[in-house]
Amino acid sequence: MRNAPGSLDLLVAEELSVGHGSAPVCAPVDLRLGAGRALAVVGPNGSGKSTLLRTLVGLLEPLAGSVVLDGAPVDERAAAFRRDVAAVLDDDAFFVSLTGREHLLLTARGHGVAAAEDVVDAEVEAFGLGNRADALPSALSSGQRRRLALAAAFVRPARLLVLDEPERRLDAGMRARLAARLVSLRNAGTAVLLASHDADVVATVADEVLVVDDDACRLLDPVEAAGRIAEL
Amino acid sequence: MTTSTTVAPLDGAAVRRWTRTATAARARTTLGERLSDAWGGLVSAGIGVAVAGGSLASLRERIALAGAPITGTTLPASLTSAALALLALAGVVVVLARLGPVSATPAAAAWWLPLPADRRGLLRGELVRLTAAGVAVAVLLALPLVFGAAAAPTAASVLRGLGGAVVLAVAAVGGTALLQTRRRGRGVAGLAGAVAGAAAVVPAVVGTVAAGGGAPVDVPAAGTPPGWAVAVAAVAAAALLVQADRGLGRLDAARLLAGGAAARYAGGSLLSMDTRQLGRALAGRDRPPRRSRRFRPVRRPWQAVVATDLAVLARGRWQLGQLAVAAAVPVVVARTAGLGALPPAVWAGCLLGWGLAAAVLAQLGRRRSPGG
Repeated sequence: MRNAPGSLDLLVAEELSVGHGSAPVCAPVDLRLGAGRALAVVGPNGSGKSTLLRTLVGLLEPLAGSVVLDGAPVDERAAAFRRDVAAVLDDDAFFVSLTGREHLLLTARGHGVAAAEDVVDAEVEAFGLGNRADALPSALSSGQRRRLALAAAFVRPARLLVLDEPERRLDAGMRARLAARLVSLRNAGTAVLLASHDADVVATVADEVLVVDDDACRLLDPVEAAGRIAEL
Repeated sequence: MTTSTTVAPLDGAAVRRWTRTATAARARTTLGERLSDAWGGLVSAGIGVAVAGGSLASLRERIALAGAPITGTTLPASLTSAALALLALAGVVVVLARLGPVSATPAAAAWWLPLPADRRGLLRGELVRLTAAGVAVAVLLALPLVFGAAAAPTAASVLRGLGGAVVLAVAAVGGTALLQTRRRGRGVAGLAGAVAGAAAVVPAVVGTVAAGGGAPVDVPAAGTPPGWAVAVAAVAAAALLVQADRGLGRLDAARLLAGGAAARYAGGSLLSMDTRQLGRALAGRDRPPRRSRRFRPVRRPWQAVVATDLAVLARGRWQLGQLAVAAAVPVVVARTAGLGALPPAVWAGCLLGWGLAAAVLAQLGRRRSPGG
């Protein structure tokens, strides 16, 4: 997979084997993702999409092969890596005594965002949280908590945004708005990597699609991939 | 995401402070209520210590009054005290190693660890809390040993004994945390488990053999450690803790989260006094089977239950050793000079053994998932 002419690869994985323990969950993966590009990872349940994403963001060690971000091996312990990479995986954990808005402010201020309150207000509106943002997480629905987790990825700067099934627990309208946000983000120069089962989100956002499977991991263009996603 | 970084991001300590302040602002308790709670806690702890001290004094008196024959074929109290101290220390190390020991709650893992803030600043509070908890547990475990080891405990000997226990606890926390920061802690739990097994089983075997063969058990009496030894050990323990603190930035999010999940599970089990869940929370990974068992002799439902339990027992790394310790503890108590003549002491030993066995037997079959 190559990026558009002139763009540099931000994230590079070569012969990457991922899994828990010593057993790979899918075939080895090769991928390159540059700034301003979006790659969707698709595959059936249990095919290793989430494991792949967790390995790419340094939360799991590769069984074999390498992952490089901006020329340096991926290491989530490095502050620079955490500054560059925003990830929303399958976490649904919140501080019980902080409101949704406070979670977002913590993220924004933790990343040194200027005018953090204004940025948070904007994302609260964009994700349809409104006055629910001032409620404690226990008072939010699972969909609202998902919106809150996603909003946290947007209140901070990042060069690479990694999302694991971002459409999960979102209504159709929010899915469409999220896809539009991801497109504008990609067009502004952020690299976007997402695992998804939603053919519309993939078609709207992705420049290329990585189909993850036991036998081989293949790169397809979004049009080719649409049929494959429908089969899954 | 149209944000830009134009101000200094919060450092680790500031993130912790910010979270604490935001949480406190929402707390419905007043300062007076918190002080009252703290006072209540102190009074409760004092009453607990006084009750424990009274029970120990009563125990010593009953041993003296029982006039039980203390012969060469019973285990000296000093040997049993040393074995129990080693067992307790090894147990604490096993628990620390299982929990990380430094860990992050799921919320902290989700909202603190992805920040560019220095991880050392974020995790230092956790290390301090862990050390305080280790010290509290060490004092509680050491009280009966300190009062039981010396024939006539003095204030100085009690302080030295408790000081030694505190130092060991700090060293255990610092040492396991240091190994965790250097990613060398994998074998610690196994080693400590083996030490715990030996500390319980060897005296039980020695006591049983001595009783059967009439051979004397000759062990020099052990007192509380001398003050200089406690001081030297304290310096070493503090050095371990400082080194561990310096390495906190090297800890990775995945292991911190795994430790936090185990700590949360174990803490909940402890509060609900559920030994089965506690056993599951602290259990290590089972040995991967080489092949599936056929269960050919199984003909009836109860045989299926027993056969699967035995299969799981055989696959565990810990279960057999823990069962051996569970069986050995009441034997050691029953064979100890003085204690063995007191039914309540033997019952307490049996209860402790039952607790250990219950914790390990919870590992057997009938679980929803590997995570419990």
